[in-house]
Amino acid sequence: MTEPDPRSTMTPTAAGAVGTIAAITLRRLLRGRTLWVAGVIALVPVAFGAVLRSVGPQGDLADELLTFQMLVLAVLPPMFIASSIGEEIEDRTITYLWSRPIPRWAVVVGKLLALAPPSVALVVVSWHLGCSLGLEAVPPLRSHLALAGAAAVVSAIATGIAVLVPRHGMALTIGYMLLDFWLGIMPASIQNLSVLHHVLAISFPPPEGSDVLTAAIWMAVVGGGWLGAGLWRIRGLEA
Amino acid sequence: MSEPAPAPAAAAPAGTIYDLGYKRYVGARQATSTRWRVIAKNQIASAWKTWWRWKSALAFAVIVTCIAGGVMFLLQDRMVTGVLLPSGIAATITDAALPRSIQWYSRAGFLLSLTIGASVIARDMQSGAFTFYFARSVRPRDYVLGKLGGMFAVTASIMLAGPLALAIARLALSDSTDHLLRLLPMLPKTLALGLVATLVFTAVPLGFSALIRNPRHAMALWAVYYLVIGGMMYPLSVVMKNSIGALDISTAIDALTFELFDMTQTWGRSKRVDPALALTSLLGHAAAGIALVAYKVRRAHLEGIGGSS
Amino acid sequence: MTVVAALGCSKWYGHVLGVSDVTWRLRGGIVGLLGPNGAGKSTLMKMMAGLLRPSRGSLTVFGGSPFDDVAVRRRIGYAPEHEKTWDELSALELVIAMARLAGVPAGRAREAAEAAIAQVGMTDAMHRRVRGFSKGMRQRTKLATAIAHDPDLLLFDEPLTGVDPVARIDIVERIRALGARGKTIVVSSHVLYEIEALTSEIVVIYRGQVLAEGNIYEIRKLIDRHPHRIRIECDRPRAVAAALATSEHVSRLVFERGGLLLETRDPDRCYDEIAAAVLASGVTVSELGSPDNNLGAVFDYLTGGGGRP
Repeated sequence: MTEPDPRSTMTPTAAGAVGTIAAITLRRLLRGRTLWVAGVIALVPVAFGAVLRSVGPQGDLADELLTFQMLVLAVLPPMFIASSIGEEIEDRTITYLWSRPIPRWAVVVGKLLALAPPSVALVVVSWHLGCSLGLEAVPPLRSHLALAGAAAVVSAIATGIAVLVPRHGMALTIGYMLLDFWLGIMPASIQNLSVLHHVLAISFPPPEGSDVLTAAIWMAVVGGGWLGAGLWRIRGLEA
Repeated sequence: MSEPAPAPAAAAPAGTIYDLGYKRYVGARQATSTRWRVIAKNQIASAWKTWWRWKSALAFAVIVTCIAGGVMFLLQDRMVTGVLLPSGIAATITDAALPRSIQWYSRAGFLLSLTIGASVIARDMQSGAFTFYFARSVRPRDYVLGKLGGMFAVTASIMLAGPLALAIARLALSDSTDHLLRLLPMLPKTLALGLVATLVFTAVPLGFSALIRNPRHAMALWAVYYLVIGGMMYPLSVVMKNSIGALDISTAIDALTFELFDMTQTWGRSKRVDPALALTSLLGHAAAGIALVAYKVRRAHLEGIGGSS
Repeated sequence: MTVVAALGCSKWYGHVLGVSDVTWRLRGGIVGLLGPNGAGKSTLMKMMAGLLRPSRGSLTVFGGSPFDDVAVRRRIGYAPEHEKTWDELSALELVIAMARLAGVPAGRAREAAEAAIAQVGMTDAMHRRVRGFSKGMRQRTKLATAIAHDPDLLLFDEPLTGVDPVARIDIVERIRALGARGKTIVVSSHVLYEIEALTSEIVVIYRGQVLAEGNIYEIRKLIDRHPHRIRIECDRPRAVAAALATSEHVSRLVFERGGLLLETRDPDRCYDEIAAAVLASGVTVSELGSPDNNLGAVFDYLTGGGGRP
């Protein structure tokens, strides 16, 4: 039986632990180079749009642009999240966190909360600027929302994979996203497991319409599944 | 009674003291020019560790080979849509399987480059391994050769061995000796294609790895270059009506493949890319990658980079 | 009060045994965890810190499992062996974050962090980023992160690694000061004189097992099969030797330059006889001591000389 600790009221709450970890992670992100590299990557579709604009008006490349944006999405969240979690575990700085009186999952959730929003923001802004420049038209709002949701989902996927395979989390997440693209073009119900498929369905629905709610639920299921696997694994992970 | 013969005089006691302490090695030493082989072997050995590096990409390539080989055998007389022979008639699945599978080997090669190639030199720089290398009689060129050689061997197991296996399978499925002889040029063509593809998937990721000290940033930039920037080249070539699409590594390999095997794809990006330009692009990429590695390693050596960050 | 209780505790990593069937109780004070590299010190430390779970048996801290019980970890402060920290943060930011994660309220975290940093002598550098720190400064910062939340049990894994001699003395003094304040401290090291400087209470770990525990001198006394050596430096060693040669407590006499080395299995009685012999022979003794009254000798005896760090 645990002996009573007179200072037990000073054990941090889970929310407090998550908040502290998110704050540290964000601070480190702002001071490091990852954000700069991510910015350069996010500029690639914008540069593409600028080149298209210099050639002349392009009206039928919206789908293609969205696919490129998804490819950017396949790289950015893994670079932010998978590498952050992977480095923490590989460099063993996670020992500082797990020797504290905080639940293990707080580390993962804190990092996700800190790193998913910049990922979402970069992808959405890049898409908006790329389309505005290249197609000379503001993309539909639903495409922004679809990409934002996809960025969040890919962040969750990257988190799960990074916990399961810390050393190669980033590479494996990118590989998984390439598999996701291939699944998306399969003419079978397995395409429901593809984030790209649902992003396209939401952003540019077919004439007969598409079920946005179903698409969003599928995306949440895929992202939640990977995140859940990561949270389950981290309970027993040893430093 | 005679006295017993005196015993022969005992040999004077002898003793030896063995010095078990450190002794300077005085044997033959390998020439400095062989150092790169040690580095290459080490690179291969470390690539083989864990399941998520070489083994996973290799497993993927083996699966591709088995599926393509199985399809070749089981669907021999079926025609494939979208691939035409020079005469204009559709190619059989047996003929088209090898060129069509090259894209899958390229995916395996890209996966391999992500898990190993795009981060190997950056990891060495960051971890301080350069200090170990260059404190010995290792020259920058030995390091560069060793890394290129090691990664070439690893990548060749996917980009060269797989297609060669399929080429041999294709020859084995020949209808007659005459047919076999007619198909024989497939082997050197596959070898040439495999070598070029191996060179590209070795040199370019290593170039990124040398360019940026952070292994994960190097990996991300290589992925963006290959997937995003490369993918953008084709639509740019459409709108600009030029051959800039040859700068996409994946499309260039595809174009070169179908040119070498005397086939045409009726769809896809490679049909718009001039094969000569494709080859130039691939060799140019490889040269740029090698030059970047050589330059950055030499600079790191001169600046004394080697401390862990 | 039992702080740490290990009962048949074992830990293995795949096929590698880290700690084997350790049964041990820690009741307080400063204890040195001593052993060569790979003996199992860090494994035991990590189990106490809640980073590893025993593969078999149990290990409790303050009556609870540190791996599973979050509240137990509130009373533990752990400074790991490795150097890596979050280099982008300043020392103050790092210690504040660690204090907050240990439960110190936001309003008091800064004050607690500054106090901890002052305790380790890092006040002047606390606003600098950890990236630019020397090894000694990093070690001090690590200690500060461990003490900021005023834990009851402090675990310092190789706290003096890479630290210069001056800083080493300072850190040792600060650790002793913490012990004087009533903290229970476990310090692991493979450097014998570091442990000797800190404490006389030791736990010797060798090949994953606890070989001995307790006071160094008491352990020494228990090693019956190894005779105790006493060295006498005097002007006429042969005179002293002649007086002691007939003593039943002296098992061996060896003449050395400037003195005499004798071996005894009963040091207490032997010292009395030495005093009597010196008085009787009228020699002038310049030094009298034992080369065995140190941790190195104890360690050698316990490990048969094979575990000398």
